[in-house]
Amino acid sequence: MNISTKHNGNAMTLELKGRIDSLTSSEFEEQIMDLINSGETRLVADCTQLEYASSSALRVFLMALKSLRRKDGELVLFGLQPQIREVFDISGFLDLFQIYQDRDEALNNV
Amino acid sequence: LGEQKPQNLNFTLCNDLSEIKHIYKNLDRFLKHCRFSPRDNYSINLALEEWFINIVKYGYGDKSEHQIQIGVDFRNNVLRLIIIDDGKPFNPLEYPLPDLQKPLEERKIGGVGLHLIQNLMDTISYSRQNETNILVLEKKVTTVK
Repeated sequence: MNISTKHNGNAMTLELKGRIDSLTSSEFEEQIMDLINSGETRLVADCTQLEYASSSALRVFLMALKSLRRKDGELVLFGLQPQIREVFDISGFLDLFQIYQDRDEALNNV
Repeated sequence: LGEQKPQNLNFTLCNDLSEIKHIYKNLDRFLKHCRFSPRDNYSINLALEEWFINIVKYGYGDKSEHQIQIGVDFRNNVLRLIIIDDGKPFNPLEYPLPDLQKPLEERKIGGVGLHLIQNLMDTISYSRQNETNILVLEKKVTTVK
């Protein structure tokens, strides 16, 4: 797993690469919660290069979303590969998250 | 395209989270060799990880090292995962499904792993034999060229 961050106007984009499993999810949790705790409220997760996400990744997405919504913030996702989207669907996460096709759409809606 | 030759793989993991990387390494070569679709590869890897994590987190009341045996078998277009552990009895088929309709604030992630296994695999069978949990997961897979 590799995460890089980028400012786009008032939003912060996290590029998620590789695999987020039960081992690497703690690093993902640390990075995203650090951003939220440092005051970022508009987060965009770029999932185009995310190859694998287990329920531990879902747990971090959920934790981040809850934390942001309490501060009137938002986390939106884009570029999910079909099999990851399916896992979001099975978990009932498509009702909770705003998921977009591409970066522009995500940035317009965060 | 005729029937593929049967393939199988066996390996053992300790009850430690860091063993996750061995799941990936062991499975990856096997799955590449079998040429399943990316979706099938993902489902198989995920099912194994979710069940393994469940064993490591909840299976043992002691601090000792335990061995978890993994068998992977592919024949007649069916991929079968067999996972054997000597932890506490746990039958996933008796475990209540999480409520996935709850609003965000009440939503918890617990149980989602088992729910994923049930949705991504075709059959789940559980038995308790000789003080071990034996989970058999099967999935009909499609191979790609």
